[in-house]
Amino acid sequence: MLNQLLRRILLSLIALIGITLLVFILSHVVPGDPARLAAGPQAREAQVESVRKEYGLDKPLPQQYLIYMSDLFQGNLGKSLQSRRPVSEDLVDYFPATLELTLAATLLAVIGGIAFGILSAVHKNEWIDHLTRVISLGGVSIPVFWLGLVLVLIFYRALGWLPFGGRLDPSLSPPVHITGLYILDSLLTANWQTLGSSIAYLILPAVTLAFSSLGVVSRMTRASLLDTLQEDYIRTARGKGLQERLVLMRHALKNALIPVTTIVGLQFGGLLGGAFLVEVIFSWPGLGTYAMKAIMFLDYNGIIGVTLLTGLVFMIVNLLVDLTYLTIDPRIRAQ
Amino acid sequence: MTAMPVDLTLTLAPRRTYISTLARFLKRSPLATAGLVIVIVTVLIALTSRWIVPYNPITPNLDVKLAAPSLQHLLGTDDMGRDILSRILAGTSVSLSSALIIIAISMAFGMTVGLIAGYSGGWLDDVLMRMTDIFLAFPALILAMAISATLGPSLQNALIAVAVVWWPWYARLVRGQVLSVRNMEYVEAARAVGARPIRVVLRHILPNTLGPLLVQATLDVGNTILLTASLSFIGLGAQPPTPEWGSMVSVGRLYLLSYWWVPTMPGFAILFTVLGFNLLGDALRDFADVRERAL
Repeated sequence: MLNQLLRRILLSLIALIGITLLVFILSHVVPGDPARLAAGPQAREAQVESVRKEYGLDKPLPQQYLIYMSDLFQGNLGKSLQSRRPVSEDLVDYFPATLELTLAATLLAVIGGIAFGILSAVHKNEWIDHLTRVISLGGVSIPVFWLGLVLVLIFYRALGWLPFGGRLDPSLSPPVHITGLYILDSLLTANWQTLGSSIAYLILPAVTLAFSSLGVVSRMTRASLLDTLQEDYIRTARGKGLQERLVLMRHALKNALIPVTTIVGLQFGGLLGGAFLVEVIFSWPGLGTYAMKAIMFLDYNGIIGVTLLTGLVFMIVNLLVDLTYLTIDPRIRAQ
Repeated sequence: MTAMPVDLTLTLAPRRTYISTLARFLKRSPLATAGLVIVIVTVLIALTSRWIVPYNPITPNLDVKLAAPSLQHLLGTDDMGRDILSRILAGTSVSLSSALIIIAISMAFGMTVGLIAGYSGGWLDDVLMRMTDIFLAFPALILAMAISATLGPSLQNALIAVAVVWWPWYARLVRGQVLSVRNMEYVEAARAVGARPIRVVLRHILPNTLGPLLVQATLDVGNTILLTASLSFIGLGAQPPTPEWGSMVSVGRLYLLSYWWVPTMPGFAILFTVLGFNLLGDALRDFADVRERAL
């Protein structure tokens, strides 16, 4: 168990170094003149020169990487051209919104996906099973940015059921900043009005984002549950007269969900990427909106900062999934 | 010498033509048939779009801007008065050719890496696989976005960016296949008679990796169309006035609440095409019984 744990952490560390190396290559090697890119398109020659000196871009590449790493450890990601603030401060401001959206979508995809998966395994080849198949095929084929627009047309424009644009009703002020997640902060400060509004504003973007993963999770749950239900121990459980509901929930589901955990970890990366597109549609003030502005301003430091941060988050999530795996599957623990 | 009276036809397996295999495949799944039809229609549109577009897809016509769908303009017109149907039809070849270019590049590179890693094993395998890990450590869209932004916004750079993000999947797939056939008897036999490694790989191992690779490529047409459209949507892929579906949705987004057809129509084209390739790819995968790649 401890060995496994150390191995996973070691592999993650290697991946981490790889992530910094790749981002370094993107920011220092690929562009013809990184100093000009970092200084911005309107910069004069003298400014470019000073950026070149400041970032050590006139030194040999291995040395540049060391400088880059030591900057990174101090949280120095350079200055953003669009906000004229350090990129690291921008990321701290914009990240919670993305985290809230991605977590909400993950939760929806997992709960909804597992529920649909169980239903379609139990009612194999009935209408609910066909429905999940359609959802999952549609989910992986639909462009998430387009789904968002269609849902806005239906639920905001036509029906008027849900609000659209931003994280909160404009007449309300954001809850006291504790975690930066509006729902959590409203709960912690018992601010019910803000809580209601932030949930209402979260529904459409979260559903949009969750849709494709929900399909994938439900198909995985269905397949895995159908496999597990073939096992001998399930027959034993049924044979001793256990209610079908108990067989399903207590005996089959536990084992069936093990492969689903891995899928959820991998899906998180897709959700994080998808969040960027969903944010643009819903004017959600997160990393995606920030990256979009950075792209328009050719704010190079901003783009690189966002990339590094999402790579890091994705890596941590996958490490957590691996660790969950170790705790829930005794067979792996015993190895 | 007299001929031996042996009925050879009895010893031969029934002949399987491509047509009968295809018929068998389609009979098993109506969804596969639907997928195949969509794919054929899309390819035909892509090849003939130059002649079948009712209006010029690029020249503005400000007299009819933002016109609702009607008999003159079946899917309406956009903010420059261009016929949306014509732009969607013209965009088909942009999306399909983009997908093919991306898949060709990433397959060629991924296959080379996968063959080397799988066949050589040892430290080289380790190094190459850790390399793919690094690329897979980022969410695909975000890495593609960063690369595309570094190279500068254009369709060509977006294609390079997506290919850079995509090749590791092929490398892993091919490596897995190589590992599963590397120690089979016929490969050992080839080695035993003195075939050089390059010949063993190209003649005996490579052909056995092609089936799963083709299935993956079919599924990836859909995936790469989505990814390229997403890059165009955030302004990094095709630039206006190129009729590219993602960029059409992106520009049309500003008109969503008053002129809903402008951003929604091109999205249907993406959904339709991607769904077609996914249906076909799924059916091919079941047919070839390839193990599902965890995405």
